[in-house]
Amino acid sequence: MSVGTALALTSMFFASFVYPVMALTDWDDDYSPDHTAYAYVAGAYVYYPPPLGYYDQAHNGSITEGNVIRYAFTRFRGFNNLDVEVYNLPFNLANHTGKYKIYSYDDIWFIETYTDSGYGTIPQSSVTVEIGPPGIQ
Amino acid sequence: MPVRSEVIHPYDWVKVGAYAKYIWTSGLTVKFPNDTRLWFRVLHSPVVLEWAVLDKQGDIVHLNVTLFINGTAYILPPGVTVFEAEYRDVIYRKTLFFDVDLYTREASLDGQPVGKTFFWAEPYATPGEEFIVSSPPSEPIVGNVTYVKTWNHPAVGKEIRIYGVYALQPDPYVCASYVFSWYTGVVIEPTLLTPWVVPPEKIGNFEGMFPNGTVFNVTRYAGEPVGTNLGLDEHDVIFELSETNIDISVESTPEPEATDAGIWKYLPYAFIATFIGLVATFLIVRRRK
Repeated sequence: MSVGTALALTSMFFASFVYPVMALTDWDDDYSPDHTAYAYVAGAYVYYPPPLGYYDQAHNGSITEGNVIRYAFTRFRGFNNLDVEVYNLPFNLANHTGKYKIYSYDDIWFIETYTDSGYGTIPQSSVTVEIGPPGIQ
Repeated sequence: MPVRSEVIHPYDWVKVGAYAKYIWTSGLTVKFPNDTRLWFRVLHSPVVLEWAVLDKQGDIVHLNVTLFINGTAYILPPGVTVFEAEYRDVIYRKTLFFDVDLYTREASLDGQPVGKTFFWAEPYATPGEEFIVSSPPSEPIVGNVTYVKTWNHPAVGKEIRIYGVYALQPDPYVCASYVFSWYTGVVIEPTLLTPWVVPPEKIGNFEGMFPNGTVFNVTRYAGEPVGTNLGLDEHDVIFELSETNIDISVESTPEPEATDAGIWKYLPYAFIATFIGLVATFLIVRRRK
């Protein structure tokens, strides 16, 4: 172990007493009540309050129904620890399709994946999944 | 028997006491005028949006509109993070009194015009028709009627006839759908919108997409009078009808079987024509003899 590495690890250890450092890798998924929309979301976090941020966010949203006649999309969103939205990126989907993407936006506290085939409750065909620190899911 | 659209005068349902309740079942954020926000992470009961007719003077309908949230929330004054925020049970209730023109849907709040609202809309819409969802000053939100269908509504417990509206526009950004009762115009699924401007350093992080897949940057999100003034702090919240005393069902005045009436209503004329023909034939044959 080099002196530099030792110094970095020591700094991180003591920084964790000062900053609420949080590391987690987690995933979640959910179907809409009628199983026509599916969302999967995964995230890898080592959370340091800014400016020491390191974050990866992975989203996957898909539509499993075969009768989309209006529209269908999945929307990937990220929020910071002020509950302010940092990104919001929708993707159109067709029948039985999905979208998977990994991001590295800074300053992310939790992420949300949403899919909707545009029916509202006719039939129920939307699903939201959130992932983040304890208390978010 | 005439169809319902011929016997029900539009907006007959607008009477004192008429009401509709809608619910939303996920967490959301509301904002106070001082920019303190309540981020509801846990709901103890569904979020309820309710409107009721308090009075009607001529074409102007006086409405009571209430948003009710009961849950556990982070209390976030400006600049306070979730690490520092108080997290406790909160009840949020906000009531507004709108005066809405029955026919134009133009509304005022405390005497100030706020644009079109969508507690109800024009009945008997047809697919493809242009639909002005809302008209904040100078920036209308325009959609199109996308379908008309009959649906067995779980909250009403009966079949209702509905039409759907979809609005997608890039600036200010709107991507929202609405469902209305086809016979009465009463909104079944309203989408409430609140305005938000994307900070300059975040432009590029917010996108929209046209149906053909073309992506565009979103620089600001549109608002409309109801969501904005109720204090919602979400781009869009889709409420679903949960209860109403307005008759929006199809059953109360069912549509007739059109084909039967079409055939049998000509029977008397056919009888008379046949009779005249027979008499004429009889007379002609008799003269020739």
